[in-house]
Amino acid sequence: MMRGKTLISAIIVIVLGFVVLAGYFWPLPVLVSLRDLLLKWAVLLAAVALLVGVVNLFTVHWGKASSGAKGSIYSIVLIFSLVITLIIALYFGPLSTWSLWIYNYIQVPVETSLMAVLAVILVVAVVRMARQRPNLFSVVFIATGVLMLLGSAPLMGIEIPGLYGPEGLRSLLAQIPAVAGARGILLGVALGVIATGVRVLIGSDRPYGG
Amino acid sequence: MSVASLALPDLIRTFVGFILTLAVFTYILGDNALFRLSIHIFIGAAAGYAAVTAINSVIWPQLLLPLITGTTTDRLFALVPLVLSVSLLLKISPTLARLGNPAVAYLVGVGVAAGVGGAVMGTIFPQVAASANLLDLSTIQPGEDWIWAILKGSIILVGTVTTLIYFHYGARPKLNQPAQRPAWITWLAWIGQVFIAITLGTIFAGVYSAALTAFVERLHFMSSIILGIFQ
Amino acid sequence: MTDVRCPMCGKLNSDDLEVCQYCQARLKPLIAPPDDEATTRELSSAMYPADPRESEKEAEPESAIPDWLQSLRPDRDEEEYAIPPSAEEEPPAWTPHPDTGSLKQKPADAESDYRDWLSSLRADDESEAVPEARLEDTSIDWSTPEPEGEEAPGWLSDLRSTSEETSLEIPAAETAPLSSLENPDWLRQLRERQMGETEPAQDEEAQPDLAELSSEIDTGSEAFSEEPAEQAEEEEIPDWLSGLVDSPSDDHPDDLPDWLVSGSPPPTESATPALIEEPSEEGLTSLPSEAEMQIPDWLSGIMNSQTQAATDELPLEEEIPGWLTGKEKLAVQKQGPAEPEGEVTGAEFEWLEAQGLIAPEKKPADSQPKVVAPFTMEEETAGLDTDELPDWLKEAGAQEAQLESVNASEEDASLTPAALPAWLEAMRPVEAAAPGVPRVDESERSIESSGPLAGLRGILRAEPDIARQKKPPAYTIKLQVSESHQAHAAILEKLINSEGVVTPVPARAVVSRQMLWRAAILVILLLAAAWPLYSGSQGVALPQLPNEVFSARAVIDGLLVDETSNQGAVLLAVDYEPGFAGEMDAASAALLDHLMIKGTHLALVSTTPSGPALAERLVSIVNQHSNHQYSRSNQYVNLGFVPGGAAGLLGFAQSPQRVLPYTLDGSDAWNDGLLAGITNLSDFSLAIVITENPDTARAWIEQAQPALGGKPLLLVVSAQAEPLVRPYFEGYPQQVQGMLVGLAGGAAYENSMQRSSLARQYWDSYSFTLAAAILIIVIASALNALPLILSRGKKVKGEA
Repeated sequence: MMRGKTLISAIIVIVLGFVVLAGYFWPLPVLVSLRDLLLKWAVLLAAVALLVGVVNLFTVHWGKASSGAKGSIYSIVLIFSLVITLIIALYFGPLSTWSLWIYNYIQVPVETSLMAVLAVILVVAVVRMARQRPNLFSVVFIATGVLMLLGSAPLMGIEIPGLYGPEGLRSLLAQIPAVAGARGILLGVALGVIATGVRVLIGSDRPYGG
Repeated sequence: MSVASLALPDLIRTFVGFILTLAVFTYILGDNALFRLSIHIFIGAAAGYAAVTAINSVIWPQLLLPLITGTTTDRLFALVPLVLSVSLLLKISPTLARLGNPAVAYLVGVGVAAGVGGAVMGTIFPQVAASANLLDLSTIQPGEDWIWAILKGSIILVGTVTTLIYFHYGARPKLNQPAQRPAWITWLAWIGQVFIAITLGTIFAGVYSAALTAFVERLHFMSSIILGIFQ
Repeated sequence: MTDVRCPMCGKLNSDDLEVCQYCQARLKPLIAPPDDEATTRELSSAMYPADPRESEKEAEPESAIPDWLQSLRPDRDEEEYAIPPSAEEEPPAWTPHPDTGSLKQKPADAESDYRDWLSSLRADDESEAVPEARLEDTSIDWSTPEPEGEEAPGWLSDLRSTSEETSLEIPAAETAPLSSLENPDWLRQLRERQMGETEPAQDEEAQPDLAELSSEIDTGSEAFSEEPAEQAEEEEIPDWLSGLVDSPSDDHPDDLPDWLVSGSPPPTESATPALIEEPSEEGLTSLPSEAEMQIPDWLSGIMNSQTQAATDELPLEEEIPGWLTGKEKLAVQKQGPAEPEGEVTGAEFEWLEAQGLIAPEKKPADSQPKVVAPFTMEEETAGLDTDELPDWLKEAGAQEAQLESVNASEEDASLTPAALPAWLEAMRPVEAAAPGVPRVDESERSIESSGPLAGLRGILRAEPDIARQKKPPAYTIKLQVSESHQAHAAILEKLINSEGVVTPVPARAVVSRQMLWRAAILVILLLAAAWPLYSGSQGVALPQLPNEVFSARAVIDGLLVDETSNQGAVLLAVDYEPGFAGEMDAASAALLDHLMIKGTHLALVSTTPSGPALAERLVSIVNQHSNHQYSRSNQYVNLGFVPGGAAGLLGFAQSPQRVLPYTLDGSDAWNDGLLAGITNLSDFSLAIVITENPDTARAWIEQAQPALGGKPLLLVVSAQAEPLVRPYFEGYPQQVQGMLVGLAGGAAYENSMQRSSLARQYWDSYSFTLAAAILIIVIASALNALPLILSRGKKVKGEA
């Protein structure tokens, strides 16, 4: 029975994968229609998967809150916040005033503040990196970062000549060596995606529990 | 903007935002309860809003609505995703989680195929063509010096190739010696490592720039509230 | 007590041990206890399993005993077989003398005791005494012809002869009693075989009774005892060797070599050993005298008694091993009077005596264990039947008889070269190939002192030279641990010992150093950012248009918008996280403002769950800052959230109506709304993606850009995503037609628009804060890296 289920999952992956992949190279009407239908169902399933994630989050924190362990108050707060938001957004709609109120004055400030704290944390991290790992590549890394920052804006209103501006060193660094390295990284990432994807499509890797 | 002129709802939400901002900023001094509280509130709110968005945007109009009000054809077409959705929901239960494997396989198969096709058609082909055209004089921008264009293209080409070589880890083991890459590959990889270091330095600069902009934005928000209180 | 070296492992053991205490090998060869006949029988039965036929053999009449054995039996004179008392630890008589190397160590008294029984061996031989063969040493020269004047070995001729006057001399030392040994099984088997093929003409007297044989052995051993000196020397000589030794005989003094009679050392000019000498008629008669060859006394007696009965049966007597000479005994038995039964004497017959076949002549006074020779000539020939002998052996016997007859006539001590028969000549090794004089390594002349071959010279050592020459390496039982291993072991031990030890957790400082650092940096940045806010200045110049922003501006400027026909609808993908709202809002505000100015209809979509809300927020901010009145469903629609990542994007790109048929607020925008007439992405005039994630940007480029059908794609990205997105803009063909990067891109776009928006508000503070941050990074890094640089410089100088 276990083998049968595994085989079914593998067959699903292989068949559907090749149908979708074939549509990239052979835009036949039948194939395109089938692919569209499959993709639509995939979008549906992805939304359901998001729901499964939210339910799982609720279940975990419910268990923590029920156990009364240390830190359960935070789980209670989370559950409370989730339920409230769920009720308000479901009732009034996700684009309603109240929903947007929750979003704009709870979610956005917290996340933006977390990003702002990063400005302080990164400075400490760079200083620590300069102290602990002073090799050639760390020096190049830090020097490039500083140069890019120096050329991104005038410093206290002072534009550093040769560094700032469309023709400055910052632009050259961004357009030439950074592009070269990034292109190599992009190609490498794409090759990795292809390699991993092909392994899944032929059934060598089964990350779906098969 | 004066705080006093704000309506109560606006006043409340402004105050809530201010408090949450301060609570998160306390993390600079170390982890504390206020920070954790604000984070948990945020997570709950974000999860709830995401669920509502998914339901309103996809599940309700594309799955439930056709089943309820749709035609027979619509219902039949909705049956397959319904079954798959139910099986996927069974993933919540530890005992019945295996029944959701076909649905997960469906998602994986379609997602992987889309990823592979996009990588080939959207990145490999165009970027390789772009690398090949670096030394093509016909692609020079009007007004651009061709020598400078060739030089720039050469540097980019060398950087691209050496960066790819850096990720080459194939090595042949030799007798009584550890497996090592050939010397010429090692040297080229060293050059690629320099380009990667420059790219990562640029990314770091961008991250810090984004963080600094967020810092400035938050400061403006708080200053506006503080100044509004005193106005 | 002297330690005995084990022949197997080479280790020293106490003398009183019989087996080695290390390897359990026997230190002393198996011997028969002197007077315990039962034990001997038991021992022999253990050595030789009982034969079912043994019982009937025991009842065999005397006629069942082969003639050769009968002929071997001397007169029942036990004195002849008396084994003289042997000196303690004296090597057997048949072993080479440690001093002289002579095999012959015979007390003069023992000679006479063995005459009788040995004479029976020579019953059919000619009466001519054969000079005793002698051996000076154990080395054998196979190529050297028989020296002139030398005759065939006396032992050989003696054995052929049927003289009854030969006496055996048994060395005094280490003679083993034979009376208590039982019949060996192999002997019984040979007898049985012989019984089946026995010639009817066999003389019954030639078939010694087993009991008589044992008694004879005893008699013979008693006879040996009267000549202790001679017995001690020649007791352990094996049969094949016994032929090489000739014992002196008082009855045939002329047969003894002069040197042997005088007791002086034998001449250095050694004669060729008897075994290898080429026999000839002359050679046989010119065997070296007993004095020239060292033969045990007991054997010389045998040889002397057989001188008269020398036959020419075995021309190859030198090369035929001694066991074969039993053949001549068979012939002797046929020709001559039977040897007295029981006259089996000599060390080779000790086993017979031990089995009770021969009565021991005399018990030694001190019943010391006697060493039994490992084999004897007679033992090997015990089961031989004349009819079973191969033809060549018969022929050899005949020729030997002829040789013996020739040798017996000559009493000259000097040996003359023997005339070799043709067949022997053919077998003779080539002189050119064979070594001339045997190269004898003097070091190998040492006498073996232990084991069954004790007393012999030139044999392979029982213990390897390596064991003798060097001390076995002493391996320490202690574990060899290096210092580094000890250090590691100490560390591991310390870790293990500290495992259960509760270490007090250091009290956490209320205000830590890192906390102070962070607080200081926060204060500095706050001060730097707050100054422009406090001062209200906006003096920092906005950046100039970079190339990518210029391109974007050009694209938007080229939009043709027709509100009535929904031409110019723009797809706006808001795909950034709320955390980047500050930067992305500032980066995209001016662009959105420009679109609003142009009056384009916007279709908002997102691939993140919070995207729709962010899109709403962005529109409201731009509305607020730029004084626009864009409203939902009138100027823009919010299509909602597309889940599934790349698969969802692909589906949306291929069929946007199918994936998102309704807006987020539930209305149908594709048919009756702002998006009427739009079925594909290519129907949009422009697609703008606002994202902070380079992967999201790449997914849009890979999945959606091909579906745009040539329509431009603009990106508004965060500064962190710029390096990984720029290759799509810089490459040819371009996949992205324009890019706005971070706050600087938005500020540049605002600068080009000459309209103030969020970027303008943040630009001064950003400038000051950035300067402060760079200053902190540079100074702090320099302060932290400087000590390391200095220390490295010191190291380099120190090494130089």
